[in-house]
Amino acid sequence: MTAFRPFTWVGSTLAIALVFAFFTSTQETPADFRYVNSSGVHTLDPARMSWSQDFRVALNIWEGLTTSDPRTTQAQAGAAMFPPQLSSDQLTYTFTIREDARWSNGDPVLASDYIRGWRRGMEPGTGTDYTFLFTDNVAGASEYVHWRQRATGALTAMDRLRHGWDIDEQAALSLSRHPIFHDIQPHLPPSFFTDFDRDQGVALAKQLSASTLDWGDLYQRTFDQHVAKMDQRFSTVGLEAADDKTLVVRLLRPCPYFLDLTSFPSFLPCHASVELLRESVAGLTPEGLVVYDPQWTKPGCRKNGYPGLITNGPYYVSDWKFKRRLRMSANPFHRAFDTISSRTIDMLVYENTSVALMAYEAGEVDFLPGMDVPYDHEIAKLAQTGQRPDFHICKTFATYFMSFNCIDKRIEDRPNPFIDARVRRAFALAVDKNAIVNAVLQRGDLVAHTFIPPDALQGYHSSSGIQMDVAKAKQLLDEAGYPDGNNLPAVTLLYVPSDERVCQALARMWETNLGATVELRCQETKSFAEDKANHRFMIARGNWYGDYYDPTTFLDCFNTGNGNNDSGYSNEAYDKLLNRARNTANTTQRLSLLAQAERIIVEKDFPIIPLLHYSSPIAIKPYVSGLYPNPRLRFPFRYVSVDR
Amino acid sequence: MQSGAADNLVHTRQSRWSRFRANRLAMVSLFVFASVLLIVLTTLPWTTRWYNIQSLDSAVRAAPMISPVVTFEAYGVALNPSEVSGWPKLSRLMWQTTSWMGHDDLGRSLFHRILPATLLSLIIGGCAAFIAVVVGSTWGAAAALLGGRADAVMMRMVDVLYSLPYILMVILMKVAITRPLTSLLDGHAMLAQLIILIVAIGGVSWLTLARVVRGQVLSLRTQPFVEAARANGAGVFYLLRRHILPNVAGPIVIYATLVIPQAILQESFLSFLGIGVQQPIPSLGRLAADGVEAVNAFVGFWWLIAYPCGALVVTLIALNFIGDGLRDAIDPKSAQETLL
Repeated sequence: MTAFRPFTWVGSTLAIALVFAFFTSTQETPADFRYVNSSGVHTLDPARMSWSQDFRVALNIWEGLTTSDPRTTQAQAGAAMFPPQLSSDQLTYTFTIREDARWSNGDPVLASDYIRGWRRGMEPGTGTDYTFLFTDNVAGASEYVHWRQRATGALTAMDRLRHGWDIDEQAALSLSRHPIFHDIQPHLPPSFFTDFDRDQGVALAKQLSASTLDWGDLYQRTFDQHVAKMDQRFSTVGLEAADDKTLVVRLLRPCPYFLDLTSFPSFLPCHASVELLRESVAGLTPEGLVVYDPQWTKPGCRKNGYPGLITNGPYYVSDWKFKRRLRMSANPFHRAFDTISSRTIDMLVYENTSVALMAYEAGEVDFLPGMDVPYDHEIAKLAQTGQRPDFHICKTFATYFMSFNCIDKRIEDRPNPFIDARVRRAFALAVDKNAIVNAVLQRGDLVAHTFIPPDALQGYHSSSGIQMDVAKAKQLLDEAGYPDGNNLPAVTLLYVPSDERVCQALARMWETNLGATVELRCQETKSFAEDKANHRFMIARGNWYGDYYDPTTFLDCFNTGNGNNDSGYSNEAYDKLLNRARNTANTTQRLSLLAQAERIIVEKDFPIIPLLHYSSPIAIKPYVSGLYPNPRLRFPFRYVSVDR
Repeated sequence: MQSGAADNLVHTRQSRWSRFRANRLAMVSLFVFASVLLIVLTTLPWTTRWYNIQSLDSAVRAAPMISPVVTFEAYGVALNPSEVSGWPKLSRLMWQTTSWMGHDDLGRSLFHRILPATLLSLIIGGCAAFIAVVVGSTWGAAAALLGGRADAVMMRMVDVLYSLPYILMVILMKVAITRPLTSLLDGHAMLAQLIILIVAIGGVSWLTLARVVRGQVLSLRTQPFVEAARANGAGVFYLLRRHILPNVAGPIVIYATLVIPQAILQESFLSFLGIGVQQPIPSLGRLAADGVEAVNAFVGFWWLIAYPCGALVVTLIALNFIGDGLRDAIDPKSAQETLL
């Protein structure tokens, strides 16, 4: 029909070859075991991570001094002999690291590697949300971190000043708290003294920005002094490498859950090669911070002769395609290498959980660690009735609740009625939790009357909490000056889209039972988090997952001034009980003090209404063994074997 | 001359109506739309009080059936006896319809939610169309009549607004005026949200109309009868009132009927994205969004998606056909063709 055209032939051959090449290049050998991570890895830096998805990867590629049992998640042997030696005053742990503990490049794991990892967890600049785990528990850590923070604050301010830049009141105040300020003060007008409040900080910032002091010299002096003292100061922290393989940890106070903590990602070790990626002079930035190139967690990073991420766990990261896939391969130097049956593990990223479920159904994926889909009630039903034996329910160590704003301030130009504990109590009494759990959600969650999940902690007995009582609620509201909900300002309920159903049901309960007007405010997660952290809400949803097996992981949330205390709740009696428990060595006595503290929250003051303890559905293909549903959703993959 | 012109007007009106009546599709649509409006309005006394009655028991996600799965007493809780003393029978009748379209995931009657949702969608559509007509025709006519630099500036503003994605504009408007408007309305956040939604949708719908009207006015301005009137010393307002607006009225009416379904769709879309009407107030888009979540590979709650979408489709199609019928009836071009 048409003449022979050489270009058509060449072109189409090329095109076919290209298409072929494209598809063959993306065809990769499937991993032995594949699981889904809904949002990709945020960071693989153990000192910075706070998302459970990241924890899951970290705990498989690193190994702490202890690890957790795959069934019970109780502490078990890790890189160190188990159990470690504990001194008679319960304050000093001596960990002996196994002779056969090795990094993924063959180097032996040393006590100093753990000290390096832990130090990263507490240093300002590298450590973030979980610094308190060190400062609350390890002797001297709090003082060291405080000293470092004060110095970095002052150095940051002086660094700006020596460049001739203005500073803000925050920087001025941190400079005023540093000893070097004694040298600066004589050069300021006499009205300036120590202990400045915020307004004076503004004035001080102006004064300092305008002054003609030799900031370069002052800065350099402070910086040199600080660097010279740093290692000496760190030696006062209760961490000591008695020899290559012996780590001695001195605690601030007896900590019955310390061996559980050492399996937590913040307490993972760090290989010495990371020092190659330490940035700038003398290992410190001009602000005095210890900063590493964030690329250090990449397996392919080769800067400054860095060999790529080296880990000591049963796996190492062999390939990481950001937001798509992370492949872990068995660490040939790990002592359990011969027993690891799944040699390669793929963490696949599916942003949409429904799509992830489809992939699971299609056999593309072997394990879903969460099924947070809008129709999770159907999933739960299938799991409970046994129609889908591969769907399992994990009773989690977590609580879902509504928090009240307890701070006396106007919200959206309305007075906040919840500063009155009677109003909070009335709202709590008017909620039909059974209806929420059994009719609205239908996921088989556990109705919560307490903050701490019952029977999760050995020897700890929560109080019984309260039962729904509308008459009592009305009476309390009447006493508080709002008979039948009159005079009560419109109450706003802040939540994220996934809480839609629960919050609508709650609003209706408060409207019919108490006569309140409830306005629903659904926000996307980011602005919700911001409004909540800044106490711009009346009632807001909240949840808390226990980080370690101790009541304090929950109860610390309502300590006055705690970073997670979004309610702004403050009760002297409560703080005192927690403090007394902190200094009590006797376990029974300590737990009973903590139970008393919990009773204040769930029976008297109600900064929150506990609604339920999550039951989280997971899906494990029937041909997978070695994965166990557990309350903390910790899944060590080295025990997993797949028999397709 | 005067009476002759009036006669002519009456004549064209009659022929327009007869032409509309001849369009069977448009007439059926008009009938459907009128009945929807009638049902929605007459049931308002019940639906406004019943749309959020939740029964957290066996009614949760109950499938559609003829006899209600909730008791009258359960509904009676929300009935104010003094208010309905005259109509308990009507209330009972209305309650009979509770389960016709099934129940949603909080045990609420889907039928009693779809009714006010349709009305809300129509209100939003109508108000947005009104804003679009007023702003758009004023802007377009003013630009055309002022001419010159003013025309250029005004139309470039329209072009700039056109080039911005409307979702972004709606979100920006929401962010900018939610707080001041809420405090202005004495904390009535729901009302404030509704107003913002209407203003936002109306605010992005007038652009096309402004262009259409400007074009029409520009061409009318040079017509002999306008020039003759101007030569006789007619002022701008006289020209507008007497010659230009009556001639542009056709396109404006047609466009307005087409803006209503567009605005309803936009509202549905915004509510679907979660930036429209706040819960528990139902709108068709909101209901459809809730329904989509309930449809899955394991168990399908088809009524949660089918009925809201059905209501949306029926309303939209009816309005579109009415708009088409009006265009055919009023459009001067097609009118000329039939006259010749």
